[in-house]
Amino acid sequence: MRVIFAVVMLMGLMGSVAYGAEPTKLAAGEGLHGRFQQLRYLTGFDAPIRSTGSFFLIPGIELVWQTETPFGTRTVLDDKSVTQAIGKQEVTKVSLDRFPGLAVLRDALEDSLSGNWKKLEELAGSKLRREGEQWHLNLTPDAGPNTLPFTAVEFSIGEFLEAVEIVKEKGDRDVITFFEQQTAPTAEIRQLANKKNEMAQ
Amino acid sequence: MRKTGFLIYLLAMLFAIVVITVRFTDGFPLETNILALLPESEEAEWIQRAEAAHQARGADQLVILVGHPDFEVAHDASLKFKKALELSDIIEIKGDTAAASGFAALSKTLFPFRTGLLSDLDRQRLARGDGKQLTERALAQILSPVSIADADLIRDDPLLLFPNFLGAQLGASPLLQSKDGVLAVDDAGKWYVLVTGSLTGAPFDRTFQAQARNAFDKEEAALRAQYGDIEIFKTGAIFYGEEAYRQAENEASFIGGISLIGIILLNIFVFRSVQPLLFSLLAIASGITGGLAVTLLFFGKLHLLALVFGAGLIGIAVDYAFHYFCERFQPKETPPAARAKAIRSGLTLGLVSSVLGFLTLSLTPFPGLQQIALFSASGLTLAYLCVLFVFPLIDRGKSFSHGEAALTRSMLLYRFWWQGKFKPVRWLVIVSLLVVGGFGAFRITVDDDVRRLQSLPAGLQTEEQTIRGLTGIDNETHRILIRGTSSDDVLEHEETLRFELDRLIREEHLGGYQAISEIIPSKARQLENRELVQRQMAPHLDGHMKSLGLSGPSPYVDSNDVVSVEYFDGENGFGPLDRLRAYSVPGVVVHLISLSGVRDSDKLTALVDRSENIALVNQAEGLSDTFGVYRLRSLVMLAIAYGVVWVFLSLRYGLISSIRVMIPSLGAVILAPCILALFGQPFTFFNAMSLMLVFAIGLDYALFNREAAGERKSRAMLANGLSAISTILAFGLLSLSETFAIHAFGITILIGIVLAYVLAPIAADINQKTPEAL
Repeated sequence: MRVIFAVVMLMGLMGSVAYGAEPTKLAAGEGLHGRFQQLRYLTGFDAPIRSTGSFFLIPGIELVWQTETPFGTRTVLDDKSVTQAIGKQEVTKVSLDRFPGLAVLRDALEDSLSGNWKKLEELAGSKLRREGEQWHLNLTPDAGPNTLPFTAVEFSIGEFLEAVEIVKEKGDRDVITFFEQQTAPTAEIRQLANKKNEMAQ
Repeated sequence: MRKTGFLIYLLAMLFAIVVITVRFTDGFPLETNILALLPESEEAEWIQRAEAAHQARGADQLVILVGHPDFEVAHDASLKFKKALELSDIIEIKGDTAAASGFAALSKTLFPFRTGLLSDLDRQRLARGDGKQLTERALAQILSPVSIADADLIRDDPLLLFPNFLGAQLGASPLLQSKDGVLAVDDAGKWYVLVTGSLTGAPFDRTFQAQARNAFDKEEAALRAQYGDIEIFKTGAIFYGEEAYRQAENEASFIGGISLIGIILLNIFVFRSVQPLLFSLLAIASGITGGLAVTLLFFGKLHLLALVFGAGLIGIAVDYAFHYFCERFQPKETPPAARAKAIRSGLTLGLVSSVLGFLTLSLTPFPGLQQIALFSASGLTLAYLCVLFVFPLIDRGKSFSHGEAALTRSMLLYRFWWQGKFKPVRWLVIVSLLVVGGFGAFRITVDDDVRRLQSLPAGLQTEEQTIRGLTGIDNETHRILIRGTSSDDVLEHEETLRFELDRLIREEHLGGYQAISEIIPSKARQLENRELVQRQMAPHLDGHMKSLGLSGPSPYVDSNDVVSVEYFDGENGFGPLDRLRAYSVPGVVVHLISLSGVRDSDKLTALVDRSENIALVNQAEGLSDTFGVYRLRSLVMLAIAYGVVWVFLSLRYGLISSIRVMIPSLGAVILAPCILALFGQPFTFFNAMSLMLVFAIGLDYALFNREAAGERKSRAMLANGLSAISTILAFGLLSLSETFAIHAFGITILIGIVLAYVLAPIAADINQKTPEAL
């Protein structure tokens, strides 16, 4: 009887290990960096616009999007604005106050990369669902006048966010895949981001 | 003579009542807009017309922010507020002020003309041949993880020139975002929804102010009852104006109440009878009736402030009554007719001097002064007739048996000026006054700045700052009017001027501006832009389109089709643009550039002075300039009035003696501002205005001194004393007011009247026995 109980417990434990690989949530003082590939599918265009590069997330502060191909550009998303620079020259600065829809998208990216799924689950009104080795979450805005720059966002998650598909009106969509993600103290992330930026210039 | 005088009085009163009745058939023709008191603008006609058209289009805005943590609550409450104010006919909403659909429609309208629409920065880049940077910027924006450029936009504008053009204009706009058809801002967990509208009436019109305030308060209370913890902030000239009026009214009522009680007590204490008080009221009522009728006859309506100031001047009628009743302080019984006769010469000279002075004042092209002068001159004449010809008919009183002590005390001042034993002290007083006057004269400072002269309520200022902080809406403080022969001509002028305005912004002399040419460039500028895009981008465009996976010809069309201001006439109207289109008739088009954060208006003045087709308008500065001009003009007219009175008095007293009669009034008028300067008080238009009263009353004091001889002297001195006390009670107490205009009026009269009373015995002629009757 004891043996059966132990076996059942062990199986349960093993099962929970195999099934319970919950997405990682960044700890306080921790950031994330890694690589990305973005494919922009634009309706009627010959092929998707592909870009690759590195990202550096310092939660609550900023997300640095360092595009390397097809050419070097750096986009910094903080809680106030989206700033873009080519080399040392700033070419765009958009205030998020003016485009609250962008702020929603920015927050969604930061929360998903940070593993702050609880907040996104609340926003989506549904829980993470498991499909095979991955977790998924679909974020669809409520019906009514949509001031958001997307009609749906689908997150695919392993240990970290692995891919996000942003579906827009008129059939446009962005598919961003993330890989080589690593956590590190935020100070280190900042150093890495700066170093990458210097190298790009 | 007595019967004739009474008949004239009766006929005049009858005529006055008929005029008033006729004018009152359509209600009390009272003008409450303070700006109506000001003279017509001396600006060029095109500026006047443009300003009038701008005002008529609802330049005066009311701004309200409704805040609540729940957007839906703030949204609903704001819509209710807006609807209530519209239904109360306080505001009207022109176009789509929410700008949500308005801005989207504007974008859609302008998009076909995108090749000619470049931001200043892009224009500069292209002008220096930096086209590659624009392709890289477009690519960077398209590759952004939060890009909002969709396939349609990229296909038609792969360089994203149009969104960057619009973005540059948005950069100067407020922090508000469009949400569910309203403009709102999210701040610290609270949503604030904006309610704005153009006022349907004038913000300085007392009646409209009261209506607006009632409607606002009523709706605010209703919304608070319904939603509880709702926050409401408001701003607009109408609230400041209403608060200022309310404060002035409250103070005037309080101070007026105290002075009224004081005057009643003074009458009862001195005369031990209410009869003088009742007679005084009759004289004042006659004066107001006459003043009202004549003013309505000439002007059609009466300004509230003319009524208040005019009624104050007619208050001199109380002095006439004092002189009449002081004649009852006699040991022997005298008939009422003899009392009137005794004061007739003094009264007549006083009246003629005052009327001449007021009529001189009415020659100024200042409607406010004209009304006050006409009201006072005609009213005083009626009061004079009443005292001289009605009082004796209804006066059944006998001589007062008391009053010996008062009469004796009233002569102290006279003795001081004329008895030999006081000579050293007298000279000391004279020298002291001259020294004080001399010192004060060097310290006189003039201040006509209407912003410093008004004490803005702290509560309203805080609300305005809150609104400014939350929305980024900066008050327009100045505007530039630009004239041309066509809209396109004006746009070209604007573009040249904006180059200079941008420099002023960089040099921090100016906060920002809004101009039509920012959104709709001139035809020449659009064609130039188009040519720049074609020429500079051609080498880069193909490669850029290929990198985007885009095939086909260039989407930047080369044509002469440009967007014009007229495109936005009628149905295509866009609120923010309409506001900047001031005035248009065939051959003359005027636009305005709205300026905010002006830190150095001299720089702007220097800028607009270069062309007669450009004018800088600032209501506060304009009003200040007007105050300055009329402060000076009223002083000049006062000097002329003294000249006219001198000629008149010379007929009776001779050239030299008449100067002596004028010394008390003249001394008070000159010394009062000097003494005020020693206390650090600036000399303003309001001080100059109050010197008119000092002029008239000061002359009366002197004339009664001059005309009263022998034993009558003490009665005249007593009447002068009572007059001085009542004037100080009626006007001097106004110096306690916190409203600068009222304070300045009161303090000048307080000092002026004291000086005029103290100096009045100088006018006496000690050799004179009994003056000739007039």
